[in-house]
Amino acid sequence: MLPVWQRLLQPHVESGAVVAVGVVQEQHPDRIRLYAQWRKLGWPVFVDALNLLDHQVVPIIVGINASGLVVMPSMRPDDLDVFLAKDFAPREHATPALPHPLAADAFFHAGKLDEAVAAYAAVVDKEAGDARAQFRLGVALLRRFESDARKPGDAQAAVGAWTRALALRPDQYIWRRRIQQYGPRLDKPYNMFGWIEEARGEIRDRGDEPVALAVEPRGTELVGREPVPTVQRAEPDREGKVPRDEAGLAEVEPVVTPARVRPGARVRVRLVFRVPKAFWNNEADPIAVHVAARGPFVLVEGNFAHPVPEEAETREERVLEFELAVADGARPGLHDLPAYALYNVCEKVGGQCLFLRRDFTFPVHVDPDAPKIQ
Amino acid sequence: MRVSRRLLGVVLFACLSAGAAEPEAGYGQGQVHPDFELPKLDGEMGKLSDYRGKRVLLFNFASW
Repeated sequence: MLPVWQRLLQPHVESGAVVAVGVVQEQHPDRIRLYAQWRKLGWPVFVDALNLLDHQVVPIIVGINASGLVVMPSMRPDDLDVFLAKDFAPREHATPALPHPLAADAFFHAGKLDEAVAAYAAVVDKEAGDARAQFRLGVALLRRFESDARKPGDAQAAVGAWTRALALRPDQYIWRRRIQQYGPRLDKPYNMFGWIEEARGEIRDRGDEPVALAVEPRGTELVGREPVPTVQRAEPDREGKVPRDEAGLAEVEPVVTPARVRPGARVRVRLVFRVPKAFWNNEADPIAVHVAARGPFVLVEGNFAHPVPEEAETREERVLEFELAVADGARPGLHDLPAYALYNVCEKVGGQCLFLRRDFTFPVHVDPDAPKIQ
Repeated sequence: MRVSRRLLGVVLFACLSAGAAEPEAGYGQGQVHPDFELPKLDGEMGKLSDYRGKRVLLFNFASW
């Protein structure tokens, strides 16, 4: 869509006849920076991570006259000549504000994520039915999760807030897509960010360095229609002989999406592994995960492999993901499903390396009234 | 009864003013597009009203 408009608009933008302005619905601004670099998009582009404009779908191309009036609410390329030819009599109009501003919005845009999360949480504590505040709370929580200011549970809380928001406004396609990015494979999957590799290749061919992404797309964001195999393996430590990681050398944080799932649907579980007090031993076996899926929960696909750096010891965050199908007859309520991970870590570079086990659970909340995600 | 020209002028002005009421805020035809302040790709905050006085094509889109 945009490349067509770019070509059409170029002479008119250069002549000053019109200004093209973008507003992108995106949690991660650097992804759109990469897109703009790839397409040589010289337009001003605003990032509306919070969905302040309250659009429910995109794309929407709006023609606005010099007085700020909407003169063409949903333009197509064929409409451009009409828009340019119209002689709009300029008038002074008051400039209305966006609907539903919240004080927390300014905290978020200023990067004050603790304050933003607290302020949005205060709004929804008072009024749980404030769908916009629930959505924005999720945005702020995930932004904090992906920053150095991360607090335990931020990502799961973000998914919870988004799930509540979508339950209140099930017609909000943009909010639904935000959950889908972290959720199970879509019924009609497509590679949401497949353009990124193409973009990187073309940018490098031009002799430039692509904009770095702070958070790479993964999981459902990259899944096309090809089948994803489930790694079936024998339980690696059935007898429980591997020593437990009592010192907490590695941590695992599960994130289950959606936060509430209908019987008959699926959840995607993201396991985020960190080593705050140690190093990964890359000369030994990689992380192994065993999920005790039983009863109404069936492991249907999983990515239980992660990249292994060439260096002997590293400390990067590692992510593994899998999906569970929830049977039609699953009992409503919260189910804490057990799992464990086996990993090789070294207490320090060149120090003692240990093969350890960490047991954990992850929550699957079965709710027949949960919003439809896929 | 003769109606004064001044009275006629006042009535006519009132009728014209009522027909030119301030448009509502919104995204529909004839509505005033709400202003917004959001970060741009360079991280600086900007407003839609920065472009008042020019024809604007506003592209609402996503990268997915």
